[in-house]
This record gives sequence, structure tokens and C-alpha cells, in this order.
Amino acid sequence: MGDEQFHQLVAEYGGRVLAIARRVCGSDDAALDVHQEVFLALWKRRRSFTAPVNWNAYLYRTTVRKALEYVHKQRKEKMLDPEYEKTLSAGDDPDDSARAAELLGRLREALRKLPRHQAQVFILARLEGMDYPQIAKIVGCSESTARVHLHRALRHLAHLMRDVLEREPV
Amino acid sequence: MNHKHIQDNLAAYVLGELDSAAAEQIRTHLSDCADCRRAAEEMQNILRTAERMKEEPLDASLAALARRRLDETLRRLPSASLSDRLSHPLLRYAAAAVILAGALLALHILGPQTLPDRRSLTADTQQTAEDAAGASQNELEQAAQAFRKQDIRTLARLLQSKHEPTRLAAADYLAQIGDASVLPTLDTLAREWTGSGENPYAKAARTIRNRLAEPAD
Ligand SMILES: [Zn+2]
Repeated sequence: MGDEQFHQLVAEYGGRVLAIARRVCGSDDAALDVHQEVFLALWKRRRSFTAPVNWNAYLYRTTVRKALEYVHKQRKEKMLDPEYEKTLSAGDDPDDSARAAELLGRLREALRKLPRHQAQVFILARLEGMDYPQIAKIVGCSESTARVHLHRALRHLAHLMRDVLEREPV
Repeated sequence: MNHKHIQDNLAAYVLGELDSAAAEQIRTHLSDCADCRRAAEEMQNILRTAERMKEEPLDASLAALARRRLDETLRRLPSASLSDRLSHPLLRYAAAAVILAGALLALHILGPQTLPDRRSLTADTQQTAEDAAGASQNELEQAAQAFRKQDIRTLARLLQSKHEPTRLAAADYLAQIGDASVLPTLDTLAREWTGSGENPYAKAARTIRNRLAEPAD
């Protein structure tokens, strides 16, 4: 891949990369970092892409992976920060917004713990709004496998978040 | 459907993938079975949370900011200017020429005390080496920068430099991004080339012509 093509990819897919990263990670700063990581990695490897590549699939997969890694890293850093629990409860309506923020934070963490294909399929289906044929192309599996992954992901997430889901209904 | 069968189909039910008959069976079971009801509610709650995650707004200015940050990082990458350039045989030659010119300059600066055989260099040679080192290095940096900015006009100007390393570097960059406007200069340089081995200007011109002949996608 030439440098020109690299810059075209940034122009064409940069917004999508940013949007996924923003949803999966939950902050603008994280989204910027992931965007940077995704394209920097591509830049460093650009000479190795000699055959045609499905860039849409490649960038979706890479972004989801890097965003989930970022959530993991961020969580580890925040656990060391005594202020972290307080930031969870910030908001206008202390009960509802704290609860919503907690659920969002826990879902991001739980996604990171899923097997990779389950996390990918869940994110593409529920955060990107894709159907099974679209997901199958990106993940590189059949549509029925994509469906199985989504069902498993949902059950798995419910299991991982049982403690917080059980406490009270939203 | 029994309890186990229902549990296996709960995800499909919650996702709205079942036909109405199957969905009705699940609903009937849920009204009697607290365990399955709770499991379905948990999954629904996950989907609602994901929906909220999806709805979180994306700041419109973020894309431009991301682009600027990426460009900034790429500009600062040492590998982009050095190892990549050196992967091209032409530019290895250009870099070697700069290093040689730098060495001649060092001879000049260090003086006779450290280098007793300095007298073998005439004053003219020293002056030329010094100029070449400074000018050529500067031009090579300009060329690399122009390449990163896809600035064909600057590269076309550098292609007419009096320094061979600069011309070679510009030709190599133009081979990658150049258009038809630089072909006449490359052809002239190719005709004037007296070096041994493959004619680098002819090669660059050929690369551009091949690229221009490819159908645009
Ligand atoms: Zn049941």
C-alpha cells in the first residue's frame, strides 16, 4: 500500500473508527487514542499490504480489538485511582445517572471479558446496528455462526453482569 | 417447550428473532417460570444498556482533531523519514552521498592536527564538500517533507537541484506520487544520466507512466 492510499483510508474510515471507539470506550480521549493506535499500526505495516484487502472488515475488526484492549488498560489504571468510584456517581440525578453510568461501565468491561468473536459480533450488531450478513463478512464466519455468537454473547454478558443487574430494575 | 428448551431460545426471543408462534410459547412459559423471566429481563437490560451506549453523542469536531493528531504523530515518526527512505535503493545511494559529503565536511572542521593527510584535499574540494553537505541535507529534508505533504510541485523543483542526491531522492518520491507534469524533466534527466547500473530517472518515469495507465478505481 502506498502512502497515498493510506491517507485515503484515513479520510474514508477515520470517522467510523472514531465512532466505534467512542462507543466501546466511552470517552472522547479514549476514542482519539484508539483512532491513533489503529492508523499508526496500519501505517507501520503499510508496506506489507501487497494483495487487495477488505479495508472495511479489517478496520472494523482492528478497531473493536484495540478499543476493547483500551477499556481493559483503562480499567486497570482506574482501579488504582481512589477518585474513580466517585466519578461513577457524578450526575444530575444521583440515583438514576449513577446507576446508568455503572451499567455502561460494567457493560464495557464485560465486553472485554467475552471471547473475541462474541464481543465483535455483539458490538457490530448492537452498537453498529449491522445485520447477520454484514457481520459475517466482517468477522469472517457464516451468518448462522454470527447468530450463535450473538446469542452466546448476550447470555454471557447477562452472566457477567448478574450482580449489578439483579440489584434493582432500571 | 420445556424449561431447558426455553432457556436455549431466550436470547433469540429477546432479540426478536422468533416467529410469533415460538414467541408466544416463550411468553406463556415466562408467566409461570420466575427463573426464565429473570434471565429474560437481564438480557433485555443488557440490550437497553447497549442502546444507550449506541446513543451516546459523538462530538462533530472530534474527527478533525483525530486527523490532526494522527498527522502530527506521523510527522514526528523517525521511521517514516529514515528506515522507509533507506528501504529504497535510490535513497540509500542519496543517503550515502550525504554521509560522504558530511565526512568531507568533518575532515575540514577537524583540521590538520587530527588528520595529517588533509593536504590531499584542495581548498576547492573542501568548499564543495561543505556546500554539498549543507545544501543537500537541507534539500533532502525538504524532499521528505514535500513527499509527506504529497507536494508534487516542490518535488518537481527539487528534481532540478544541482545536487545529485536531491535529484535522486525527488525522482524516487515522484515515482510514488508524481503525475504527468514531471515526466518531461525525468526524461531529460534520464537522457543525461551517465552513471552505471539501471537509469534511476528512466525507472521513475516508467513507474509513473505505468501508474497513469492503470484504470482508476
Ligand atoms: Zn423456565
